[in-house]
Amino acid sequence: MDGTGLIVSSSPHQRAAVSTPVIMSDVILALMPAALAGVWFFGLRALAMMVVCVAAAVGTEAGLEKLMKKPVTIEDYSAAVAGFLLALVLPPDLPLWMGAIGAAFAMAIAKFIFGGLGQNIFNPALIGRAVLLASWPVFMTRWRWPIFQAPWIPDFDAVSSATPLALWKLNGIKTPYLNLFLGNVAGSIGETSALAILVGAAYLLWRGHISWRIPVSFIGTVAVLTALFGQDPVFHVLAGGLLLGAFFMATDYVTSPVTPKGQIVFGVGCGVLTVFIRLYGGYPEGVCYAILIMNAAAALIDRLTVPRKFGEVKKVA
Amino acid sequence: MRDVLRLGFILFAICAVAAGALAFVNDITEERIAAQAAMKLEQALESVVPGAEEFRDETDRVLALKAAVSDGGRPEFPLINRVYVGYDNGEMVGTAFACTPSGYGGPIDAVVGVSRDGVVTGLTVVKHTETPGLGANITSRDFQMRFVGLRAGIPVKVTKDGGQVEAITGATISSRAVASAVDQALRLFELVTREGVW
Amino acid sequence: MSFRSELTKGLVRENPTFRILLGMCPTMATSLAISNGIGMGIAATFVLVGSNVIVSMLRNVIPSRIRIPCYIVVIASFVTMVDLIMAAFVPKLHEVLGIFIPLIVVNCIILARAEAFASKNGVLYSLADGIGMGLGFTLALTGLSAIRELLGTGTLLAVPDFGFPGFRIFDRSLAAVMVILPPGGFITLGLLIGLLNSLTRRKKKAAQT
Repeated sequence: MDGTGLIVSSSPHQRAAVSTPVIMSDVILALMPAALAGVWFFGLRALAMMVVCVAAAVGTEAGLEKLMKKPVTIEDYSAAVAGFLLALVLPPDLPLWMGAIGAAFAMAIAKFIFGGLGQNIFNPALIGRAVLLASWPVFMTRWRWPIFQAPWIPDFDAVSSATPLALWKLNGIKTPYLNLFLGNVAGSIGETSALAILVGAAYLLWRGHISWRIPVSFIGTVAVLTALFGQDPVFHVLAGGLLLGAFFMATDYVTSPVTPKGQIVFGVGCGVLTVFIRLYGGYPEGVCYAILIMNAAAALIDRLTVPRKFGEVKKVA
Repeated sequence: MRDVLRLGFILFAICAVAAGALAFVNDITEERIAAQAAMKLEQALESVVPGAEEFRDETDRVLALKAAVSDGGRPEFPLINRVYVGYDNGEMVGTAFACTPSGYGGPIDAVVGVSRDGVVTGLTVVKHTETPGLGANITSRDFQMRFVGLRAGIPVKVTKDGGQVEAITGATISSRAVASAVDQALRLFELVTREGVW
Repeated sequence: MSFRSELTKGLVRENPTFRILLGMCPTMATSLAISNGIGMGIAATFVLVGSNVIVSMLRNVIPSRIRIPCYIVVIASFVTMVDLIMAAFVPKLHEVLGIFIPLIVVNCIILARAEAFASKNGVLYSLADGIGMGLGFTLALTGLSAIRELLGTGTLLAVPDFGFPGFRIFDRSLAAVMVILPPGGFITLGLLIGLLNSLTRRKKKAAQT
């Protein structure tokens, strides 16, 4: 407790009719375009990865809750969402059992040990990805060019198995915007198509499940900072996992701040870290680590950005 | 006051006994430890410069040159620590360069052997703190053999940087470090040959 | 209090790693392979037994006001001896354990046993305590490193510095590298402590009913 005996939480402080299962099934719906794009570009293997990850996540959660004699909570779909999100940020050719381990780890270590839904500090899907990257870096950085080639896409001769960000960082080759926008590039199953992600994000915004604050401040910071460093901001926004991360991962209720001001701080922090990792880090992409690091700071940000009560006067230091 | 003296004396006595015991242990182990260090260096040198019977540390001679070419006081070959020249029957057969490039997890101690005509004859990693399973593969023979046969005159780089040596999968930074050491060894060799030291 | 109970308490009941959570730094850093774990365990046990016996012998000589510097001198001397002896006779193992040999000096297990046990008990009991605690530490390190070696490299009992590749259980490329990196160490240790706690709790419950 923070000494005052008060818990910071978002207003209004009444229970709305919108419950966790409703939000979660809407999130699943919103992820469908990205998932379909993944299957379209990377084939049924991508679909198999999604099925395996969701099954492993749901199975692990139910199994652990049964084992520890806790109420089984798989019906709120949050485990399914975590598994689904994890599959979307994995390379299409990753062995399926590795995906399953990632999902199981995400549920058991990142969520269950911390006390289940609402108690976890870090986004489970991203923890799953980070653990897989640390455990099997060779498999996790093996990419594939999409099977499907659209005839209207400009012929891009650097057809390579490297992701656009890696191509840019290591070889200085820039992938055309149209490829990035439609998703005809190498990358994680669900992160390649900016168009599909934006369609899903628009749905979530329209339903009011996420606010604009985190995604806009996150993506805006990346654009402004990359421009300041003399890079192409449009490329940096479209490439890699930024859009998927900003709309679907950074906005996770449990692991991001609840105060409006805090959400802006959170988004800016994610953006700054992403840019620094992309430009100066050892990895080409930094969205996953940026969000995880800011997850750790979320509670702190909340404390520092508690909205002032009406009539409260700023304390003189 | 007397108390301080008493405490001081007890502590002194314990330290003295401890020091005596340590001196004794040091006495019986000193020679073996020195022999082992020498043997290790010898083994590393022999493995990179085949055919050499004896090695002489000629770092100072080379260093004198190095100082001559350094740019604004900065050493031109910061990765090279020592230079050992291998002889067989008084005839020079090759040179071993002890280098310390910076890897992913810290400094890497490596020895690069270069033959008389400027070809890499061997490479060995003496000490490193790279990631197990990834960067630690710089100690594998398979990786080290990728450098053997490279010639002075062509910069040594990993393929990602437009060079000729394929990096270890997932360990570009470690591979790059080793490549930079080999590169400096070859460049120093070229310089020394040009200056006619050997 | 009996010689036997002093000897066995360090194994499980008061295991220094899993129960008292002492000496975490060397535990994390050296539990990468069974051979390292055992080597570190034996070295620490030697220092622990030596310092326990000497501290116990001198417990009536050392004034309490300067006891900590005295203990440190005794411990540091034993550590230096181990360091020199290992460098001379098992140089490969010495190289693998590297900085962690001199760091046994600051391994809290040793100072803690000197302060909490040896300075208050007789030589024989202190000897038993040192052996028990040392074996408990060795056991914990071996168990932890067995899990980490298996999952992180796919082998068991490998001693690469002696040219023994160990028993390969599965292919190296399938091994989870993270397990032998620091985060994997923390997670594995945490899970082991949790498991042990839940087992003892269950046992206690069963004993009560």
